[in-house]
Amino acid sequence: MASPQEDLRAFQGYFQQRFPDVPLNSFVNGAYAIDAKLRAQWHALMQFPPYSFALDRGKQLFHTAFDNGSSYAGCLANGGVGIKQNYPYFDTKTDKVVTLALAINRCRTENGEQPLPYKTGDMAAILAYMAYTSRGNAIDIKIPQDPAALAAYRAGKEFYYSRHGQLNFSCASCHVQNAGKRLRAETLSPALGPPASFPVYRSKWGGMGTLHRRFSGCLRLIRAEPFPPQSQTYRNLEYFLMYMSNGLPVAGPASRP
Amino acid sequence: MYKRTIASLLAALFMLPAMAGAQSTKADYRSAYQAAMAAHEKAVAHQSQWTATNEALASAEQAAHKGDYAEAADLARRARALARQAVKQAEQQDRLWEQAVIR
Repeated sequence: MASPQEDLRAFQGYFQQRFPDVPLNSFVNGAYAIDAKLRAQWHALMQFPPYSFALDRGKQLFHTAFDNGSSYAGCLANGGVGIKQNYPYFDTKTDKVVTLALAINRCRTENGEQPLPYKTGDMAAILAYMAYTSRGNAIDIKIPQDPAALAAYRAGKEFYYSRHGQLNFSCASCHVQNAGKRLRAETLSPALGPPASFPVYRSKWGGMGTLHRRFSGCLRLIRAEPFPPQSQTYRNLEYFLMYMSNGLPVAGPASRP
Repeated sequence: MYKRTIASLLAALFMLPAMAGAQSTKADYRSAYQAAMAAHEKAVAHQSQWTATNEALASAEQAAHKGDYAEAADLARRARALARQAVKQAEQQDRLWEQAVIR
């Protein structure tokens, strides 16, 4: 089986060959990077980004102390500023993939606060703010030479390429084999890049959502029962996908159709 | 009175097959539902649940709750068939997923 580094080279090379006019860093913009008409609409939308309210809320929440006087800054490296490019990472002490959302809730529970739901709301707002402070930073996901880390990466990779649901689709069916094509009214985004833009304001949702919310939505569309957000399955999948976007800039929060 | 007794006995005799039919349909449903759940649990173990399976199971329970055991049994059998397909999909994908990997 190929190493993660070999996978990364092949993955990014595939999309660069498939869409030769798209600069590598622009892949973080998903369908907007490959569809000129969509891109024009997006530029118009960005005059008043729909995620602005969530961003403001996220900033306020991030800088509000917990009841015990501690804060997110006390839990996270560099005070939680400009760190999103390092998530998720593999925690070799607990043998699990730690996403930024998981780290946020861990911080909350360690300080006597209730954990936040993972798909939307205040969690998405805080992630939006943390993504904003990390904008432009090159994604830098590490896979240590550790059997458990490699196993988590490979589990994510296997999930990505395996067919699921009654419609028998894999993530790759849409975002690799048919990237750039239309599915009803949607242009299918390439697999390279879009995870770097989360959390996103989706017009379809009428609000913000996290990457795991999107995973669940995709699985429902192919008639597979979704997994709980931040389940091991989703965290491994995020680990694989974010690693495949290594080197690309953090671009969240973002807007999507 | 004698005629009424005969009539009552005959009525009871005619009802017996219907009652037996209703009981056996309920037993059919229970058996079909158990089989469906067993297949569904295998699909869950393979991380391969389909939404259609869960919908069929829920519909089977609803039909049984209303007393429509024939319909409930049919839905349970459908759920079982879907769950078995989900398990087959997962077993096939264990072997086939690597063919889709970008190289």
